[in-house]
Amino acid sequence: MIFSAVLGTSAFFIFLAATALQAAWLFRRDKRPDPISSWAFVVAAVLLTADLIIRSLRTRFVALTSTYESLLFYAAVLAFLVFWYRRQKKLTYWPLVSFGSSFIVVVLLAVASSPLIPKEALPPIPALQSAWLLLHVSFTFIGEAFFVASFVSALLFLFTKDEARRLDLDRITYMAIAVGYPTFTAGALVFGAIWAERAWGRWWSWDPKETWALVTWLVYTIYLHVRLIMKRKDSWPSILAVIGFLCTVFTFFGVNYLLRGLHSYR
Amino acid sequence: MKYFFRRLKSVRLAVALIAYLTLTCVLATLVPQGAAPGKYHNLYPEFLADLILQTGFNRFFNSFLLFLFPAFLFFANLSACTVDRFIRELRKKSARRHGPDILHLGLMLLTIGSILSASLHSEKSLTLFPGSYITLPDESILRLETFHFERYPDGRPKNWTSVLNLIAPDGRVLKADYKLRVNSPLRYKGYTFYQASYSPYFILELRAPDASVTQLYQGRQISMDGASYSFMAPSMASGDTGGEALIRATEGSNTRIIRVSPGDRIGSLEVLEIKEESASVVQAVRDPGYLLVLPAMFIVALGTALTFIQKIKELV
Repeated sequence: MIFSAVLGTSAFFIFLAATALQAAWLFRRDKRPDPISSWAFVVAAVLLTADLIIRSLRTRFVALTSTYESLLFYAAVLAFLVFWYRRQKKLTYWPLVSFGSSFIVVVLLAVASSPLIPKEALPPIPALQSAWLLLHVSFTFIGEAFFVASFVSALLFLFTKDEARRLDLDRITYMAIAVGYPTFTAGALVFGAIWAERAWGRWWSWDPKETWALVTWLVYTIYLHVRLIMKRKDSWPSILAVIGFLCTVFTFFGVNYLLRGLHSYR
Repeated sequence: MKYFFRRLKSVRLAVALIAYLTLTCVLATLVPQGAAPGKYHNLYPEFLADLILQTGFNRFFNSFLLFLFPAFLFFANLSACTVDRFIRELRKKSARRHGPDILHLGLMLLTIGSILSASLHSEKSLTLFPGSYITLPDESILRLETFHFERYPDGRPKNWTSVLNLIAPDGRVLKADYKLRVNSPLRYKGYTFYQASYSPYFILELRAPDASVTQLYQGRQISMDGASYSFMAPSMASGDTGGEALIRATEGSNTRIIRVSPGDRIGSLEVLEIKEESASVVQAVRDPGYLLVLPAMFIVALGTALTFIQKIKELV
C-alpha cells in the first residue's frame, strides 16, 4: 500500500513539475516546445500504470473498480495522449493545447488525492466481477481523454480571433472528437449495455449515469452533424465541444456524488 | 410528398430533435421520476409541481407527448436521412462511404429493438431455498441445490452462487449443477435467470422421539397429533435473533402464539437450534427485444468506427 502511494505521489509531482515547465515555456519568445516535459509525462504515466498493475495484482482483479483507480487510469491515458500529441507531425503543435491538457491531468490527480475519495485497493463486489468492466471502463476513459484535448483546443478557438489559428484549432478539436467519439460509443454505450444485460437483466434502465452518458453522446453527435454536415466553421462546433466535455465531467463526478442510481460506486 | 420527404430528412430537424432529447433527458435526471405526487409538492413550488404532474414529466420516459413522440419523429427523420444518403452514395462512381449508413442503420435497428424490449420485457423475482424449485412454462423444473454466500473479511459481499439443476419434463437433466453467479446468467428457451441477491431466513431444527431431525423453514408449518405449528419468525424481543422463535400453534379452533428456545418442545418434537441461513434471490427475465438490440449495438459500433477511420485517414 505504501509503495502504491509512493508511485501515485511521485507521478503527481512529476506531472506538476512538467506542467509548470510547460507554463514557464509559454512565456519564451522562442516558440519551440520544451524538450523535457513530454518525456516526464511518459515517466509519470508509466508510474501510474505500474500503480494500477500493483493494485490489480493485490486484489487479483483489474484495478478499475473505484473512482480513485478510474481517475488514475484517466490521467495516465491523457498523459500518454499529451506525449503522442507532442511527438506527432501531422497536426500543428500548440503549446497551449498541450499545457491545457497537462493541467487537466494535474487536476484529475489532485481530485484523486482528495480525502473524499477512498484509496484502498479492494477486491470487487459481485456486480463488478466481469470482463466487460475492463472494456466498458477503459474504452470510456480513452474516449474521454480525447474529449479533454478537444475541450482545450475548442476553448482556445473561442478565445482566438486569428482565422488561420482558428482553422488549426478547429482541426485539432475535430480530430480529437473523431477518435474519441467511436471509442466512447463502444465503451460507454455498447459495452456498458451488454454488461448491464449480463449483470442486471436490463440493458438500459434510464439510470442517471446511463442517461448522462447518452446526453454526452448526443451532444457530440450534434457537434459532428453541425461540423460535418452543416459545415459550420463559426463558434458553434467549439461551443458544443466545450459542452460535451462538461457533460463528461458531470457524468463522472456529478452523477456519482449528486444523483443516486445503479452506478453509485466510489 | 417530395416536400414532406425533404422536410423530414432535414439535418436541421435532426439537430433540433437531438437537442430537444438531450435537454429533456438532462431535466429528467434532475426531476425525480415515478415518485408519489406529494413528493413533487414538497420539493417544488406549487405551480412547478403542478406543471410536472400535469405534463407527465414525473414519468418522462413513458410520456407520449414529451418523449415517445419526439423519439418517434427522430426515428422517422433518421430513416429518411439514411435512405436519402444511401441512394446518394450508390450513385457515386468512386470514394463511396458507407460508414454513416451502417451507423444509421444500426441506430434504426436499435430503436426498433428498444421498442420491442420496452413493450415485451417481463421479469419476476424468485426466492429459492435449498431444495426448492420452480416450474417453468414448458413444465421443466429449475431446482436450487445449494446456495453459497461468501463475504470478504471486511464484510462486503464476495460471491453469491446458486447451484441449480434444470430438469426437463421427461426427467432428463438439461443443466447439471449449473453455477449461477452475478454476471453469469443462465439462459434457457428465451428466459434468462440472474443471480440477483440473497434473502436471510431462519430454520428451526427439531428432533423427533426416534432421534430423526426435521427442519422447519420460516413461514412454513408442521402438523402432528391433531395440531399444526407454524414458524412465524425469530423473536426480536430480547434483541437476540437466534435465541427464541415465535410459533403459532393451532389446535381445533384455538390459536396461540408461543415462544420456544433450544431445549423446549413443540408437541413431541424437541427444538435443537434456530439457524439463520441465506435464500437465493433469482431474477427471471424475458426480453425478446434484446435479440435485436445486441446485433444493433454491434452495427452501431462498427458504423461509428468505419465512419471515423475513413475521416481520420482523409485528415492526416
